[in-house]
Amino acid sequence: MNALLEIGVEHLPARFMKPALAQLEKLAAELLAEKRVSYEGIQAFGTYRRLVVEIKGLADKSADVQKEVKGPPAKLLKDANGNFTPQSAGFAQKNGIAPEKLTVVQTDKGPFIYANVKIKGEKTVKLLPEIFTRLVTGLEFAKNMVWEESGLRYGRPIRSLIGLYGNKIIKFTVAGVTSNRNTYPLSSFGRKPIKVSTADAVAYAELLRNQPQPVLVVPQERKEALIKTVSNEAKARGYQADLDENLVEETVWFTEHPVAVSGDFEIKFLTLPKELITTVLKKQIKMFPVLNKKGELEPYFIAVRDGISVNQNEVRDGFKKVMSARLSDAVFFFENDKKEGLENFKNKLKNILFLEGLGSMYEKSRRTCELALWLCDKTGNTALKDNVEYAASHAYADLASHVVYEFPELQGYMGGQYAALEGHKEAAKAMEEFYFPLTSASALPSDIAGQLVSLAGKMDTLVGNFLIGQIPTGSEDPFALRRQAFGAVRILLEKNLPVSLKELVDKAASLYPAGTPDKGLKELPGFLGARVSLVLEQRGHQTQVLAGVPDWYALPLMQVEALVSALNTVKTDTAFAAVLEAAKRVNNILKKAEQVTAAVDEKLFELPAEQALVDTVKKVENQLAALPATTDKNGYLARLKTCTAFQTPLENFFKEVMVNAEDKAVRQNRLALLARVRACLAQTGADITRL
Amino acid sequence: MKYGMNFQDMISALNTYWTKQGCILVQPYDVEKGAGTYNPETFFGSLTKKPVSRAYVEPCRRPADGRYGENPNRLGKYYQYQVIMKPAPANIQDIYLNSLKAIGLDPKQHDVRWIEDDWQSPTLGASGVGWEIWLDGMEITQFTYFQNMAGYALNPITAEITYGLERIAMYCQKVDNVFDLRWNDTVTYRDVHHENERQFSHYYFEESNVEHLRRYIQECEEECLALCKKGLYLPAYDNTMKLSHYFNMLEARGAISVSDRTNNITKIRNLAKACAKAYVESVEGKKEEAAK
Repeated sequence: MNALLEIGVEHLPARFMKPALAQLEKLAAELLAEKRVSYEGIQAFGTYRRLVVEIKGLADKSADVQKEVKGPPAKLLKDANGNFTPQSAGFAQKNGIAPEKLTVVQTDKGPFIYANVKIKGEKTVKLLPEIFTRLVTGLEFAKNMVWEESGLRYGRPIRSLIGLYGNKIIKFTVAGVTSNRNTYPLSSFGRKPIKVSTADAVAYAELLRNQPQPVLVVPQERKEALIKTVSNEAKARGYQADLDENLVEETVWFTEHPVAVSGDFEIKFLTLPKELITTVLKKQIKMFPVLNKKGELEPYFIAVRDGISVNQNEVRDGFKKVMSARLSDAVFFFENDKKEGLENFKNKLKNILFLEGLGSMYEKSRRTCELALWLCDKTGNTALKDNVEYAASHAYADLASHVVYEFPELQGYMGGQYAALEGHKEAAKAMEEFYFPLTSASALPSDIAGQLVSLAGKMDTLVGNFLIGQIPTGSEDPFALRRQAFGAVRILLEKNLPVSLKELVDKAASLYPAGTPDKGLKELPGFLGARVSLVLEQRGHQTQVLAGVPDWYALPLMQVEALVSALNTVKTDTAFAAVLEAAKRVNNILKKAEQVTAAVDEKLFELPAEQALVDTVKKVENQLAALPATTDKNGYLARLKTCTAFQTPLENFFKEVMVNAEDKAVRQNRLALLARVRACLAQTGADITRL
Repeated sequence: MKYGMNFQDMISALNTYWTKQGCILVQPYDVEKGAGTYNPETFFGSLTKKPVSRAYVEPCRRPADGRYGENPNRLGKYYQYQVIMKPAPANIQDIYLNSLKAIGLDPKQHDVRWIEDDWQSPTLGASGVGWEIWLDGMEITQFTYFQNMAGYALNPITAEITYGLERIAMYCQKVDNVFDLRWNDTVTYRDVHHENERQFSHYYFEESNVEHLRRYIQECEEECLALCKKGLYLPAYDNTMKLSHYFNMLEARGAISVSDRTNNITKIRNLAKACAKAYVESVEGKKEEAAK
């Protein structure tokens, strides 16, 4: 038989919903396992006013179990007269068996009395009140409240409970609410109970769907209805809706029956920057913007309401009025900002703190600018210096604007808008995309000036935070430093910038005033290294071989990637694998040797394998010298492959030659030979002994 | 065409409605304050175990929001309609929805949305959980289950409902300028309040004497603490409200730095806590006496 629980709550915040439903399923499975009741399936669903879980195919009773219960030591089983002692009799009684049934079992600590207890299964119907109660009270929310005298802490007040097993009501009480079979209509449509006759998710969903004011209790169904109603409104006007994923998700979780209402707004508002309009619509009043085929905004909005009413036009007029007021505010902020101008905002940065002890955002702008100009030189982009200088020194200015104060998510974008309006069209793009990439996989700044400015800003932020010891740990990363480091690594790598992380960090740190205390800059290379590994992984590389690139920090990242790629290719070659093992041996021997003389004296050779190896060394040395010194994958690969020539000579050498010969001169000569091998291997750029 | 209720009729309708719900109708408290929550009925009312249900109109002064009567949506002084019920009835959401009907807004004919919004007042050391309520997209009410007041974790819990009267009236009367609201059939909001807005904006932004205000703040603090010591928490609390208003005036005057602001907020919160403590001790003291 099936069981169904509905927790009727006052409007839960949309953000609580997904975690709550996931917990319901997990908790139900745990409770049923604890109670040993078998079942076929569990599914949780619902709306922000009803959390529902259906348990399908519950067994009628819980499983029987046998349990061995350990009692007192065996010597207490019977007294001298052969009677059960008070201790053993009491133990038997406590476990509900006759003393004659007690057994003695050998344990590590000697013999003990054991009771073999059989626990009989219970009827499921008897277990459900406790299971339901604990399911309800076991949920945890991001923020809790108290509303009645029992003091239960919950996301929002519980106002009704349904507990059904088949068609029978399971009675239980939580926070003063006793379960029955009643659910209720949409929140504005009164409290006339809707009776749920049986524990069946499909029938329950259908019952709610067929109300005069339908409730779409299944989230997926609600999402489809939402997308359809919003799309239809846009289509009716000949356009399409901007179905922002986050807004769709949020709307699904704060409606029970999404119904779109659309209207127009005055065309004059379209002079506002596009992102400003869409942010007002989506974030402030949770409406969907309308786009034409070219992706441009059209002067319409689509609001979503909960349920339908006879008074749709008035509702639409209400939405229109609110939207118009909010866009008017945006116009007010935008016009004031334009009047004030970026130069003024830049000066206001003097009053905005960057980090405790590290001065203002104004000083941060100055450092970012210097670092970006240095990058221009390093990357051969001196022609861009004018734009880079303007963009970098104004990149943070919009933080002092009214619009960004109201809508922090528009930072960067608004700076770009104001720069373009003030005639700095070339720098505007770099400013607009200053904070890119916004997520780990999203776009980088589109032009080189933007990439350099963005990289400079990120490096300055990372160095500053590490200097004051503000280093992310575990899940704590309030300044999103991981994302910024990830972005910086991506720019360096994807844009092939010929700068190493070490040079960048050292330069960025040198721009902080002398005497700035350093509480953790030494942690930064390791932190960046972890991001390098992740970015390489994202770009399709296996990153175990990074261990063989000890110079990663001091090399431009594109070289690190080329080397990683070459190592991954050559790794599959059997000759290389053999050389790799031999190379480790070479390394170990040389590490243990006290001293290695420089030159190899062929006259001291005693065995042919020595001569063969030195011949190979000479050949490889010549080949390596002849190869072009390129740092792309093929260059590295060619050098690595050249070294595979060592396979047979090294194998034979180790088979036939004992390096630690009695004669010191012979020993030294052999060590010198191995040192030449090691020198060849080092010319590959990798340290293959670390693979 | 005449839409909606007159402003004064809307207040009467709310009075009638909440009287029927068992609320005691009290009149506005005669000390300046920034929000209805500051009214002693709410502040002290939420603190103890005994049931309290109150409804009242509260004039609220927000000096920095004044616009010389020139902005159609902004006022330096406006009206809240405030309801508190303790313990919060189980059907309080429905009681609220029906109150909208009483002022001509049938929830069945509009879109009424409950959007997560947890209220807190750093100056009162108070916080609660609840919603802002949107009617066809417009915020018309703050609905809060108080959790803490003056640092005390509350039990039983008070539900607080705060209506923005001008906003709701503008919506019902379909006017775009608050001063065009009909107060009754012949008098407008402009007639009653415009000159007040104009003069007080001049006062708050240009004429108020910063030295005096700083002195008042000092005096109010001293007086409040002295009164608390004597268990006279009601006049002590009046001084807290006054201090808070003078602080708001200094802010409107641009005479408060960032660190000044933090210090003053802490100061007000400490005074509010002292008043609450004096009240709770007095109530508990009386109980003990009765027990003897």
